Amino acid sequence: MTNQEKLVKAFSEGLGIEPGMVKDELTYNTIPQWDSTAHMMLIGALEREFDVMLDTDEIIDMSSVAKAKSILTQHQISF
Amino acid sequence: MFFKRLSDFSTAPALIDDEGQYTYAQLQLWVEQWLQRLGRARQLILLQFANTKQDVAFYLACLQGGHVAILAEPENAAQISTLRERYQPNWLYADGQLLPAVQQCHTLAPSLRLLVSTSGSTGNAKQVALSDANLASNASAIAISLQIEQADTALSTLPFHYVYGLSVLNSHLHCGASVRLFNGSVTSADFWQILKQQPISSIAGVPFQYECLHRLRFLQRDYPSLRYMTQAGGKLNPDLVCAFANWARQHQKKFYVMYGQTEATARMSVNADPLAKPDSIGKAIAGGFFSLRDSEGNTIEASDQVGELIYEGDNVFCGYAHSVSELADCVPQQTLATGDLAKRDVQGDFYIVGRLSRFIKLFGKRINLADVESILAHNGFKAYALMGDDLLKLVCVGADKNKVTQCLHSELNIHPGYVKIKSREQIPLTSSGKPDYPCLQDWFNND
Repeated sequence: MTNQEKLVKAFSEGLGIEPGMVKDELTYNTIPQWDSTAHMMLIGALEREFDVMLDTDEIIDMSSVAKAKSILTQHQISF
Repeated sequence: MFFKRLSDFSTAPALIDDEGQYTYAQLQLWVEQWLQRLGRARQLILLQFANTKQDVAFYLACLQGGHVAILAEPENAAQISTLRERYQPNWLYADGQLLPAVQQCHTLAPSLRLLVSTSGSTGNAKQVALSDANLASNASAIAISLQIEQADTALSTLPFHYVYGLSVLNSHLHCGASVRLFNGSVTSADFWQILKQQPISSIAGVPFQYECLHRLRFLQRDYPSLRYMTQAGGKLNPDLVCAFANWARQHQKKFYVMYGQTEATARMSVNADPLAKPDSIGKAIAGGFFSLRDSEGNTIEASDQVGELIYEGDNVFCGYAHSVSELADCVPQQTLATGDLAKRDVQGDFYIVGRLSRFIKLFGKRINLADVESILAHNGFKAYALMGDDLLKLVCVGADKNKVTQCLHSELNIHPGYVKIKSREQIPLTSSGKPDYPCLQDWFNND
């Protein structure tokens, strides 16, 4: 699986949405599914898929798919 | 009663928000302005209660003036319309605005002060009637049990329309302590900024918030002014209880595991040493008393025997108010049958082991399993909901699991990660032809 595919899988599982909805522009609190509960599930899914440990600020800052990519890039994961 | 004694603490800070801090004297001034608006005759008021200074002032004015406030979640249109229809309030309050509604005078029981929703999310939440004595008794019992000090500042991590959040507010006002007002989530940047920059002495949370704090690496830091944390609103996973209790011990803080129900004006018990007994809800709060009752109604004296948990204390509610006419006679009840099955160890600490009534708690919200089943049935799914600590467990008959999950997500906002579904072709029935839930539960847990 490519990193992009892993990312889509984590978002789709974490937020409980169709993979097709996972676009760079998708942003926290703009769809009903991405609330604070789902955000925590999303973080868990991302940490599992990419085998990383995110810190407090990274978790709070992860407010869109694009932002998630840029944070994961800092963990040596390229897209 | 705490709400009548605000002036006693005159220059002490009562509330703190992003803009500044407000003394008890200032708070009392705001209260008096509202008292004039509301007049002498007792009114029934629908109060959309956000964690803001103006809403706290209005709430206290309702209490001081002897009015009756129906607490609602701000902007929850479905809840507000149900409450308006059912109780015909004289006034509607939201965000600093007071609007007249129904003119008719209602007969209101003398001691009645609040109607609070059982934190249900399945649409048929009941309204719990609380008296002035209920509120005062719980505020003082919590203050004693947690040793709240006047110098303390609690961060309002729970909404005030939720009775556990309200109990944090009341118990601090009782002590002349402060509340740092906050409306957001523990996953927001604001929360962490306040925690780092301001002298917060205590945080209260439901299990979901502790799961978030844990995931957000809360335990990797110290917060020098933090004195204690409380957890209630459902059972927190014992591993997390130990993680927080260990951290608290290492940093000379306290972590209290508590147990409550809206029917007892929130919290009834406290476990002050969860490291020793992570599964226990501890002992009853100051002035309260627990006992256990078997299925024949006899009191269980022996330890380690399971029975229904019974609570006695001045914080036990005045019954449910199903309609406006029932507001006329709210009778204080001394005893609360909690519907929870519990046992007691030889040291007198209590443990919840199950429930008589079929509901579970997710994210601090009560979820009635019968409602889950009927909502699914309404959407064309045949499913049976089972008891679980932190999961909604379902047995489906001939239904697509993904579609059931989607339905729960859209209808009840239950995240798919908190649902576990297993399929069966047939459901075992009892001799009377009803679903055999114990049998299903065993199958589910062992399959």
